[in-house]
Amino acid sequence: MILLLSKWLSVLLYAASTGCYFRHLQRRKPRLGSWGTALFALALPVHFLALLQRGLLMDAVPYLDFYGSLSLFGWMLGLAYLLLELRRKNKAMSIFVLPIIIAFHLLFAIVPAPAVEQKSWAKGALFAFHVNVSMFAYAAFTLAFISSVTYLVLYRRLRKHRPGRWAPLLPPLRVLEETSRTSIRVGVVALAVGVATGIVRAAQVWTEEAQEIDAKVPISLACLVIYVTYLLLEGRRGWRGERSAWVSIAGFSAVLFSYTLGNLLLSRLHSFF
Amino acid sequence: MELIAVGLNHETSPIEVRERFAFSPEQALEAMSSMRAELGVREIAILSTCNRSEVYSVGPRGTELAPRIRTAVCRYHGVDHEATSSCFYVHQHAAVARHLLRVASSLDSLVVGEPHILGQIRDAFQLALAQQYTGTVLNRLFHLAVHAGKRVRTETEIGLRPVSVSSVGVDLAQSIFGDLRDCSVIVIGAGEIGQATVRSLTQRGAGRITVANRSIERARELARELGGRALDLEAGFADLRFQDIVITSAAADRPLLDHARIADVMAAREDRPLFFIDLALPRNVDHEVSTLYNVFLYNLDDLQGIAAENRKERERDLPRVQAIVDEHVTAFMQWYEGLAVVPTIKELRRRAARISEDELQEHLRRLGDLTERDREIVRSLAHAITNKLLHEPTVRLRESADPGHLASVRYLFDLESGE
Repeated sequence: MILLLSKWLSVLLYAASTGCYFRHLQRRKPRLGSWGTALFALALPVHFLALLQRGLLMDAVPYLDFYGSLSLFGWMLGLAYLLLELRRKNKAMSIFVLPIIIAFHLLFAIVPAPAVEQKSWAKGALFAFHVNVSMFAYAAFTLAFISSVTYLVLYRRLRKHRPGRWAPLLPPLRVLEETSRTSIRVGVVALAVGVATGIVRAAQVWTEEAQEIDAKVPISLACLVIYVTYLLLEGRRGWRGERSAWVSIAGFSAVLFSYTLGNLLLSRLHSFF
Repeated sequence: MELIAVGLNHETSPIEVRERFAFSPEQALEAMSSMRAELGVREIAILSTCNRSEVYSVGPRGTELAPRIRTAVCRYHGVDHEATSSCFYVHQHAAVARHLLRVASSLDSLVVGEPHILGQIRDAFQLALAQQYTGTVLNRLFHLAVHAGKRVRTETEIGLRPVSVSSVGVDLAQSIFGDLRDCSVIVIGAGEIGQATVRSLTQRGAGRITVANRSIERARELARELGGRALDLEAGFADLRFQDIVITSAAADRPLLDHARIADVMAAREDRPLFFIDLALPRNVDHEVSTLYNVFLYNLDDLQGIAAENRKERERDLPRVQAIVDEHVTAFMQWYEGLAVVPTIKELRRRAARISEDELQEHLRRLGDLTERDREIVRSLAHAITNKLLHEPTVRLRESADPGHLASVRYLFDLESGE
């Protein structure tokens, strides 16, 4: 009952928050923007409660199945966005982030918790930390991706002398670039920690399985390499703007591949099904 | 009681006339005080901006108030009354409300959608209110005007997009850099429109201003005025690598900044974005510069194109603004016309209360020994009957505010005549 209530209540709160954000951006009503933030901040703990309840129901971590994992990812994305909004005082990214969170959380709300096979290695604090920190890295990369795409759209419109009616509502190019850079920095650290803890955990529990490397490991390392390249090009070559945005998009394509095809088809030990 | 507005604005008078009729806050106070005494008006407020000087007043009916206000204003400013009579307009009754609401909504402004007028109306009202020069009618009217102005700005997009070249430039700068406090601005040349753009940028926070000009004296003069530093033209070009926003408005036959020079600048600044606002004619920045990575180049035509587009967007919202104005005018007029029935209702109630009290005393005397509780019950009965009988006529009178009904009530109940 609590699970049912919390998962649908969080969907409702996210939807109401999206409505407020949208009207705020459309009509420039600061009060609606504040309502959007307040509802969003309220939705996050309710969403977390839903995840917690699901975990208790399954007697396992709630992200052991695909939909639980999507929902956790949405929650992490929400948390990362909220921190960014409070820091940057700009709410324009909300209308891109919230639909993703709602879509993922809706799947979680609609699809009932499956009976999952309890794997011995999928337990313990180190495993939980490994999954959570990796998810947080994906959330940070998603924010970087959204910032980069927004950057490219705004950059091109400004270069073509057609800023359009939405340009003043979007974060400025400089802010989008900084958001992308900060998110990637945070994401790289988180993913590196995620990979490292994964390796440590694997060394502890994988015996027979560890004889061959799981596909998820090289894919994750490839993601890491792309984002480290981004940081190196930015730091050493002074790459900025459009070029950096494309590298960020390339990195996110790798993340998307890792999370979908990598997890679902190629990986044996990171597969949800 | 007559509601009236007398004034002149940018549509009826040239700037030479408007500046002679402008009121500073001190002058407005002085003028309101003298006009109240001289004209015997109940309420008065003066709205004076760079585009208009207007006197709003409530005074006794049939006293030729409009020409007397106009004469008083002319006398106050020492201007010939006859020579400027064609510059003045007069609004009465509902037209006053409509006019002030249009002003507050910026429909009557030189630039439709400009944001300053609402604050100016609020200031003018506060000035008069503080001295109690306004009363029931003007308080209500100005409150409604401010409310309508706010609604127009929040419910429509009339004021969202800038329509002047300088503010379009500033908006674009903010779309690129965000907080302008971190930006360095250089203005090359000393053209008027360039100066206006730098001023708009500094108003929005741009802090580090450099002025570069062929004449270093002129550059120093302008830099002093804008609060920046001065350089000669060549030093200004060399300084471009440290700048974020470049405003050019120098007189030159051919472009001063070409592709090769700016390519060197961009290489030195590691591709950090550089925003050119080229306001000169002929242009100061070669068009080829716009092909460079992370360079944003806008010339006068580009900016004017965006401004024109924004103006069209604003015009699209005009019917919605007009609807808000109409709604508020209707609300005000219903209330205002309702004011005319207030004396009649008061008199009717006073008369009924007097009759009720007289009859009550008479019957209490005839009833003799009653306990205090019984007396109280009889009193309540009398008051309740009076109030219930008067309730419906009072409500209907307020709602209709029809002079015919008003006259009938006065005749039927034999009320004294009066306003």
